Amino acid sequence: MRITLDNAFKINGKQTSIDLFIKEKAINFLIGENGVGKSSLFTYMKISKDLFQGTRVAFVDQEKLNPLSDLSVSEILAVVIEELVDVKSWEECEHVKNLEIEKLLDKKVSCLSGGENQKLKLALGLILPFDILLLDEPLQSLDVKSQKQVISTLEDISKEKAVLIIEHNVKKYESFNGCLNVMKEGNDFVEVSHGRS
Amino acid sequence: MVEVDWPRLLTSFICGGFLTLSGSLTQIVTNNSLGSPSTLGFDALAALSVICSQFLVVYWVELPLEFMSLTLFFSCFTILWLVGETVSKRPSVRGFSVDIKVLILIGLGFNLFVGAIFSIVQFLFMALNFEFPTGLWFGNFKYSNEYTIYILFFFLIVSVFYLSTNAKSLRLLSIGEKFALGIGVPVAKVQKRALLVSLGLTGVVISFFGVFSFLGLIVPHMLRSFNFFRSNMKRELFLGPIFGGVSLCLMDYLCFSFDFRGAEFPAGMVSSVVGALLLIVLLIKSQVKSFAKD
Repeated sequence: MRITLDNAFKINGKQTSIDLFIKEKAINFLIGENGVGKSSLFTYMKISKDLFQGTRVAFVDQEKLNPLSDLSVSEILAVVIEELVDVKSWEECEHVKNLEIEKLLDKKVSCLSGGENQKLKLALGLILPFDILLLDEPLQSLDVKSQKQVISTLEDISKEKAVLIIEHNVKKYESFNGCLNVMKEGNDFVEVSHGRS
Repeated sequence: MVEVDWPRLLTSFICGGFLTLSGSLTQIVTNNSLGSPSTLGFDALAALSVICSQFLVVYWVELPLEFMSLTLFFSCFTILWLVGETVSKRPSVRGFSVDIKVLILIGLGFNLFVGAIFSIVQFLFMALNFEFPTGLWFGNFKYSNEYTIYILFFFLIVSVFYLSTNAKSLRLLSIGEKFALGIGVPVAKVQKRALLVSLGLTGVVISFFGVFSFLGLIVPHMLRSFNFFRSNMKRELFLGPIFGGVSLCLMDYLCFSFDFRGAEFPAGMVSSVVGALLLIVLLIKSQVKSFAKD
């Protein structure tokens, strides 16, 4: 799937053009230097759903999840299942099961560590029905074991669906088989271009 | 035999509900349990319209004070709404148009500004030998009549309709702004609408009956300490106002029964004192909790 946009919006006051390629059934990347506006682009993708031409997209944020009332992990999953999804329990979702979140279920979200919070966000993203999964630095604050767990989960997903990861260290992912998109900043423009692989 | 003033009881019940609901809404929008109509300056805006209308009533139009202030408040409200509509037309990369820290700071500034205006007005009233409207500044239900009840009922219907159509997006928004944005909740729109409803409900109560600070802050906060309300935001939105209503009702009834040398305590004064104290207790408690966790 190819997403092109010319001067559609501004990032840091600079016109941005996008030429993004997301290969299906593969893990794709979007890389770029710090502060180039990767996360702004991520937010822009959230608010302009017509970019994806009706394909269902699930997003996993970079920021910690911090609900108003101090829900436990199982309660948050219950809210999402009740309001958005057609399943009875999160255990019906194979990918979420792979994340091994059983230990966290009774914990309050405010008591979760950074890595545990990250896992919860992943679980919330995976529980929704999607065709493309978009993740903003999914490995941050995870320990080595959990990183491996998450990467293998993402590889599993990429066997059926498209995954796009915003990241600056691609080396962590061994079986990288998709498309590498690069975000670059010029004097008065920001552009996203891709080299097919 | 205890005499019960039913219209007054009903009025205080509905007002308590309105204030609680507007508290819950502002807390959802700010994603902060310290957000409330008082901290965001909604109270101040409505109180300002009461003060201004006091002058207008004397010098310009012959209208009951409470209706004058309601009219004034809703003119301000409409202007605010129109400005909001024109400003937030195009989508920004940030995704949401309400930056909450800015909002709280503006509210704080506004509170201070109204405090200053209030003292000027106090001075003017003294110089001009007017009777100072203390009764309207501190909230109480002495002046409730059937017309006010009709108007409150109208707003009750509006807010029930609003809740039944928006409860789902509000619940998802309460989990997190960015999360809600990702699953397709039109966050900016929901936030703006919630703030407007909250402002409107607060304005109605204050224009008619004066300021009841902290009720909208404390009641949702207290309710969330019970599992029943904490686990489901919809329960807080639909049932919380009933609890708020009952508590304001009770407070007003106690004020009515125990007078001080023949003068009645304004319920708004009592709610401010009790609410502020409870707020301090809650804050200390939450601090102790997080301290113990470290």
